[in-house]
Amino acid sequence: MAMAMAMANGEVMKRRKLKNSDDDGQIKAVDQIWDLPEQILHHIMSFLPATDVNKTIILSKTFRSVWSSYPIIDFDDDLLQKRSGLYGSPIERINKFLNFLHVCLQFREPNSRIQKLRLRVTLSDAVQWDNRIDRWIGFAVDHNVEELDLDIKNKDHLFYKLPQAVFSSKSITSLKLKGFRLEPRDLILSCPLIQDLSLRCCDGLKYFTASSARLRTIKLDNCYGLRRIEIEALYLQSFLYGGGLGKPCEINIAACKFLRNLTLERANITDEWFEDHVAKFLLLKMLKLSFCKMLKNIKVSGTKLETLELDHCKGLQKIEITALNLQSFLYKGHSRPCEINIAACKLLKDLRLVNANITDSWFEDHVSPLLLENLKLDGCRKLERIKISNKQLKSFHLLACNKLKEAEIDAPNLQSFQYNGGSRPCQINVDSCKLLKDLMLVNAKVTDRWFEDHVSRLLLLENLKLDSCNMLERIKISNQQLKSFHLLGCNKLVEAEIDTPTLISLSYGDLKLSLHPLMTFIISSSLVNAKLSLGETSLTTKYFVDLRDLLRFFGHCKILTLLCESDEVLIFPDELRDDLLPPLYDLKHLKIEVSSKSINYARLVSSLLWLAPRTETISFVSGNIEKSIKLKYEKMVAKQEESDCCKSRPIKCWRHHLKQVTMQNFENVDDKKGLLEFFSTNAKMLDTIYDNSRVYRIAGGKYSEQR
Amino acid sequence: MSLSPSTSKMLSLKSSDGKVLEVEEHVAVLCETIKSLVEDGCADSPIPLANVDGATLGNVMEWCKKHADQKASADDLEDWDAEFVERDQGELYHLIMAANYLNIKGLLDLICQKVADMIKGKHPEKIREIFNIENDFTPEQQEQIRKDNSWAFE
Repeated sequence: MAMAMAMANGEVMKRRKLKNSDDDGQIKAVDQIWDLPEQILHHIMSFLPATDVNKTIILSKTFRSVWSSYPIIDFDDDLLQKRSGLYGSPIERINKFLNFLHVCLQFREPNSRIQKLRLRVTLSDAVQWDNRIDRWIGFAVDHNVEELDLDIKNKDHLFYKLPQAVFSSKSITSLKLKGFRLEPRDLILSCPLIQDLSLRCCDGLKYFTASSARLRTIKLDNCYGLRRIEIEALYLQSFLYGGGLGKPCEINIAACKFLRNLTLERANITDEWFEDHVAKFLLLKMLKLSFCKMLKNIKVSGTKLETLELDHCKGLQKIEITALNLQSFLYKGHSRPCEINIAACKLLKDLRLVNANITDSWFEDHVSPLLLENLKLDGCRKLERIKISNKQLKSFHLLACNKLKEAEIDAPNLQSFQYNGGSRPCQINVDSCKLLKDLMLVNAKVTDRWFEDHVSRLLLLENLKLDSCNMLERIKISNQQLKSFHLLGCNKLVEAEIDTPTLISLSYGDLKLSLHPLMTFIISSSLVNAKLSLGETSLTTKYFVDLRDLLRFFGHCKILTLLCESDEVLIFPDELRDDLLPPLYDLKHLKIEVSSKSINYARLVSSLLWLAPRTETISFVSGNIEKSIKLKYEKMVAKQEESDCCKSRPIKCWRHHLKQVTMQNFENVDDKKGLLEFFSTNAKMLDTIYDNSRVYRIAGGKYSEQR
Repeated sequence: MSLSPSTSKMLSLKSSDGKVLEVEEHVAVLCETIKSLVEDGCADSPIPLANVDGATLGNVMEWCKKHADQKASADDLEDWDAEFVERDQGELYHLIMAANYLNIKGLLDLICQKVADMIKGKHPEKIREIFNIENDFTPEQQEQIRKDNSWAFE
């Protein structure tokens, strides 16, 4: 689409050029974007992702020279691997990556400044160290790099040795290292300008000491063997420690008096440590503790504290919070009881209690008086009857509180309500919540009648999700503001009538056509996105006929997404393709999300083009990778020979119209070959296939690469 | 210095091709270059802008006027901007040069983002096509480039 627009721009440009000649009587040369000064081209590049920036190297000599002085260097092999899948052996890939590093370094303008170097790669057993990486790091340090962000993963806990060069940098202000073996040297002493330091998954440091008034943030996460941390940085604002599996680490940060954010994960801190340190950080705004198992009884105070999170600190028996300005509190507990006192936190706005051992009376004493805006109760299994009366409340999530029998919610301004019920029925009263925008009901024992009485009255409803509401049979949705509707596994449902003018997205999931009664959708709205997930099933003729009938309801949406385990469920048998009419004549964009790795693309595309013979794009999403095929059609030339494939059809199939194909991100050679062969033998009008940077011409049912 | 719309006086701007544009001061000062002239008290005579032609200056001031409007909401501006950048490359080029010369960060970023969006995710062949870039590498060099850069482009 963007491509077409850009071409259209080109057209406009030519026209303007002529127009200019009319106006001024002389032809004005059209100014080219790439004639812009280098500094501006660099500014444009700053809006591009790293992969696109690196691409400019091969455009032309001019662009290569523009890149050669671009101050932000970013090589991310992991991102590329994720994008392109598992193609090529790891060693082959790494060598290509290292070779690319080498070539790029040669282009570099010797006098150019480097502001930032980011390098991210996963090495293999065969390559544990490489000069080409070290040379880049050395080059960056020599060119006064300010930000160094290096993430080198090695297999089996091998660590990459940090090049000596880093220890002589007098320009680095931000240093992020992941996967390195560090020498027991004082990094901060060597690089005195450092403000932000992050060491993750690094080895070799037994003691970490830092003393600097410049330091602003320090992250020490999973540094193996770390036994003691000593930081004297008066202006440190943010400190994170994440412990590993090894021996306990002693943390001394008491000198960082102006600390605002403190995060401790898997830290061996005790109640005494907590009292000595945390109580003395008078400016502390955010405190997050997770998996700090030795804590038993803590008192959290501090007038500046706004956010507190206590996550899986399993030893906790008593929490006394007297932070008067606390706004957000998250507690994630476990089965053991823990006494929580938040009575002093009158300004609390967000409260999330997960697996908390709280009772109805605690809820009444502590939660009811609060003027909360957001409340989440998840897995609070002792609650039986709760009552909320609150005009401020905007969102309420009530999930997996299995003993709950009754919930009375009087919150006239509630906008979002999520409910996930347990095995037994629960009476929920949401009559007063007339302003609800988002409603999610999972495992709710609601009937058609309840649905009609309650949901249809929600005039502002925008998002509705129904999941496993197995008492519903026929529903009608006519909420005028509804934008998205998700329907999942309501296995008794046979009919959904949707009459909503603004619906943008509809998803219907967990479809087991052979088991479920066939759903009828009556959709009288201009739907944009529809998403159907197809469950496992036996591939009978009935299944395919049912699927085709179901798909017919979605022929008019803009983008149809089909999700499935394996591509088999989408391969319509040839004889059915002859007998049935394609269900998706008007569809322009088809998206397929298949979880299985092995897909026969040519076979799948053949079936998809039968389903949607005028589709302009077909994309395949798997994990983070999106492969796509763009198709351009042309009106059929009249004299074209009649062929056998659709003689009896009023409308000719795609084979007679397809003119151009653009494939993107098909990395596997066999996939690529299969598709090239498929298109060139089937499409009679096809003349070009673009495949990333390659161009193929089609003639006489054969393809050949254009050099 | 406070510049409220109601008391704003008019400034004359003279483009490279001699066209004079009358613009309200509170609009024109979105250009940092003009703002510093105004603040230094050097903005009395028509301000000569030797690097901006009349048509581009008109476009730039149209943008400034919209963005000086206190009543425009963020959403409104976003939609308006999206429409504003729908131009051919020649105009985009001149707008970038003018935004850079007049030092209007918001406009410069907007147009640069637009150009970046035209490049994003495309393969090199397409980028050359869109921007009319001549591939000036020799066939031997191209072969070498393809080999050297296979990590990034295969």
